[in-house]
Amino acid sequence: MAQRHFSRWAIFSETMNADQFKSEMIDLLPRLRRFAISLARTGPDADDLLQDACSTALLKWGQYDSSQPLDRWMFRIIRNHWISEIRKRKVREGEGQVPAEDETIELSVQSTVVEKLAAQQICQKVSSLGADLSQPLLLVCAEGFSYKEAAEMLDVPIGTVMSRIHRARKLLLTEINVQENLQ
Amino acid sequence: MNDDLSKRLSAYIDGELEGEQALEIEALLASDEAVQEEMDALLLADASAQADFEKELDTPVPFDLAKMIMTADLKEETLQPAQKPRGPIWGALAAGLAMFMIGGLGGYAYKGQIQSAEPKGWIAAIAEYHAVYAGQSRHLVEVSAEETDHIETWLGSTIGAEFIIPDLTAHGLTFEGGRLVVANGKPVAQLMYTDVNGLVVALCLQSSSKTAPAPFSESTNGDFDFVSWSDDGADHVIIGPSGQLDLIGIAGTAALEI
Repeated sequence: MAQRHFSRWAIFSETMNADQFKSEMIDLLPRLRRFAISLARTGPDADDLLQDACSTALLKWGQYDSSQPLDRWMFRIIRNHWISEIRKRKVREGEGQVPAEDETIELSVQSTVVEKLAAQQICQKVSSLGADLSQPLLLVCAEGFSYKEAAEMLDVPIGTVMSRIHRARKLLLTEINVQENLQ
Repeated sequence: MNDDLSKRLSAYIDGELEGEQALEIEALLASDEAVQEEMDALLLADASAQADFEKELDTPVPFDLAKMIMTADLKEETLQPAQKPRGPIWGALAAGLAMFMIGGLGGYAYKGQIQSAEPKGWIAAIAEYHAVYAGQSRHLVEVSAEETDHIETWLGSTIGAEFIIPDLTAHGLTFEGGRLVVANGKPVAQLMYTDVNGLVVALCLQSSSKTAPAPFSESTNGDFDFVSWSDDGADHVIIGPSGQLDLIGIAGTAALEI
């Protein structure tokens, strides 16, 4: 089972100065980028998303509650940015205003073939999952968050997290079996 | 395999079952070969996912991003754990002010007086417009967000004050477009934003002859809250539904970007 990535300063310190904040954010970058990829699915989009989210975090650092883990705060910022990005894309594509619930469930399932191929180059079987399945799987299996914590970050009920993780595992299993049969 | 049982096995892997639920699963695993096979399959899928996710950590993060973070000029202050809010507005005021002060506005000095009052002058006129336009969905704006460059050029030249449309996505607000209105006999640029719940926020600005910047000032008419300020030869006001949004925080971002 995955080890929980604890937030250094959040665990050992209840206060944080600017340098500590920046240092911890840099330490988090690989994990933040991985989370961004689970949403954006392509490296360039994920990097743009991460850049925007980090800029926002630096601007709003005075609002960060240092008693809370920084990773969770950052994951929320990244996700909020992505929801806004999807809304803008849909408006640009002429679909008009999109209800929030539509965005949060299938954020990036409208991948083009090119995007899907790019995503497959980034990671393996998990890239075959939609963002709605890969996000809870990432947060729980790789990041070590509880269902409750993941549900809070994703703004979905705990039962939904449980169902999606199970569905993700079953789909991965299908993918594994298909690949084994091809070999 | 029963789907509900498979789901509980999945939750068991994640350490989400306790007490009797966990004991029940453990008993089934010990006694039922099919259950053990399902568990093995789920563990295989889990291991595969973890291996894939682990690989992603090996991808180098963009150097420029790390450099941007390291060199960011943050105001040196020590963050403290959040205190229980004494009231929603003061939390928002503190956060917004912190953000406003961190960015700096070229000599703009906060003098400690955020004023709260009934809207007056051009802001009172803007409130009347907002009450009408905020109820529009299809005709919320004259020129849509797809023509951002045109909005900046058109409204900037009309009101006589150059501006850049602020990106307020960090506050959950999407730019929808702009319109031109008139208040106190002067043209006003009205930039419209909406949040995921359909709440409408407007950022309005008109040219100003004031030579000194004016700090944030709060006002409300009961239906809408307003945060106004002056800087760079323009008067600005952010308008949103009363008590529902962090208007001070939004104003802080807008003041930095506009």
